[in-house]
Amino acid sequence: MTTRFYLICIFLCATCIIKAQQPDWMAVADSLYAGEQYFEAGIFCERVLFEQQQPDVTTKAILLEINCYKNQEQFDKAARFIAAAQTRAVSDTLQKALYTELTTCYYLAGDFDNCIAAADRAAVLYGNTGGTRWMNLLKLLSLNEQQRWQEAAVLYRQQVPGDTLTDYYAHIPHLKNEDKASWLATFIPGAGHFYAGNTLEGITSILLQGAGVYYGVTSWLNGYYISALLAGGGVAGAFHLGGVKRASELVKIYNRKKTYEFNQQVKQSVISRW
Amino acid sequence: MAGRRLYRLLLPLLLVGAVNVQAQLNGGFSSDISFAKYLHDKEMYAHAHWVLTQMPETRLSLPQKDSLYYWRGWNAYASKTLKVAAENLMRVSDSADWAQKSHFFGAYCMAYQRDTAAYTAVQHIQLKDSIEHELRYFELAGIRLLQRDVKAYDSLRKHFTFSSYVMEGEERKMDAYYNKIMHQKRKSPLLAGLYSAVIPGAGKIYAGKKGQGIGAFFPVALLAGLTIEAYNVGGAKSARFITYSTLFSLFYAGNIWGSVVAVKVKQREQNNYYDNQILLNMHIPLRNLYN
Repeated sequence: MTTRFYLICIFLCATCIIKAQQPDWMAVADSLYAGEQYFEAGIFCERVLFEQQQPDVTTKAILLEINCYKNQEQFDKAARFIAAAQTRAVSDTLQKALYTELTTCYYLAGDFDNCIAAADRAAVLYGNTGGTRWMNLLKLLSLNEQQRWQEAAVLYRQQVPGDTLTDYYAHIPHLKNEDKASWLATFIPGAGHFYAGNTLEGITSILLQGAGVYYGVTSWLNGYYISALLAGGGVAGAFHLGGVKRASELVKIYNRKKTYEFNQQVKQSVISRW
Repeated sequence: MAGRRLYRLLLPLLLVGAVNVQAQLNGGFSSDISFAKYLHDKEMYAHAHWVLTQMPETRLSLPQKDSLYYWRGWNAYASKTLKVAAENLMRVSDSADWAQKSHFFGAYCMAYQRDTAAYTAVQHIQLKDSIEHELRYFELAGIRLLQRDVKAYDSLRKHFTFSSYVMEGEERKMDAYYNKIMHQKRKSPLLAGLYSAVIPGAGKIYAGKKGQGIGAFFPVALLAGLTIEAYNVGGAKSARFITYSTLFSLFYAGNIWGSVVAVKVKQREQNNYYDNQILLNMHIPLRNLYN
């Protein structure tokens, strides 16, 4: 009986001593990620990087941490993390994967300049191999966002030769000129608003400026000279200046809307064909 | 017989096991703290905060507890959560190597939050050398100046040597702010209202808001002109006169009220400005000495 008791104790002690080793941080990160605890999972990935474990584990940790940031929709932080991780990535495969992730995160963060630059760097380093196709797609979408449709059309022709999508680029939206709207509103009340495509605001602008002028003229004719100049003139002048500014703003809104509609249309078609 | 042999084998195993568990605890703590420092250095303050709050306080030795409180506080200080920073930094024991740094910064965080206990906290810091003694007087003087207790400041500033490399410039600046606060003219809201009643906008200029004063003058003057003209041409019963005179009255009274408020707003702005400058001056020597 006593012998059995001692044997059990020895077994437990030995097991305890053998088991007492470094925790598997990567497994913890994986399980947290599976449980959608992305913030915590990211911390344990960082722990793996801090402990400087085996290269394959480090690679796994880097890629998982990127996904943690992406799942938290912290794309700018993800891009910064990837840029820093690039210095410790030794293998070409990982470097390429990081470029793909970097371009994606820049695009999702709305940093189109850096997205294009990252895609260009990857193209120089890796040529037209597998992952660069995805980066070229993001570059094309970024060019669209920057209204650089001619360059986007050229890129599309290079990537998908003989496709009819380029027909879209033959009908790129005609964007309106903000300065033109301002000038029109300066010389013809309401004309800038009409040019920007907003008839209702154009008519309102004419009525408000007209009311100011009418009040000024009638006041003058009735001997209210100060009222004519300061109240009538003031009202008309204020609405005139406001109208000029508003016409320019309306053109901006119009251009933004047209660009968005066009880019959405192209984006859906490109993604389905790429 | 066999039982005795097994017992002899079990004893060293138990001993090794106990040592191993202790080493695990120590190693785990120092590894966790190093990781938190690594995250802190990478400015991942939220991540470091999470790691530090997950570390249990039980079963830790006093130096380990000090280390934990210090890093919790320092990380919170870096992420500008000053309440948490003050709480943790003040929990560092006097025996810790970085006790003075923790307590000075903890008290500073309290002062920043206008916590009245900041003064006592600074008074109770265990000091090591003459520089820290002078630093204590400097911080105490700063707290008193924040409270606008100029008499207390005056007696504390007598300990300023104006020769320490850590705070010489800041001592002079603190004195300059003290002088400005002492000679700050208390402006009367009533007088500002009266000025604006005589000349619209004048009260705001008196309060120190020149642009607003000029801006307030023109609409009132314009409405006055329109009202006079409406009265002269259309008479007291004309709709034009009634409209303009009502508008004029509203603007005129509003401008007087605005001038009264402007004095208080300007006073608050000036106080905030001096408070920020004093806090900045209190902070610089701490950074100079401990960073």
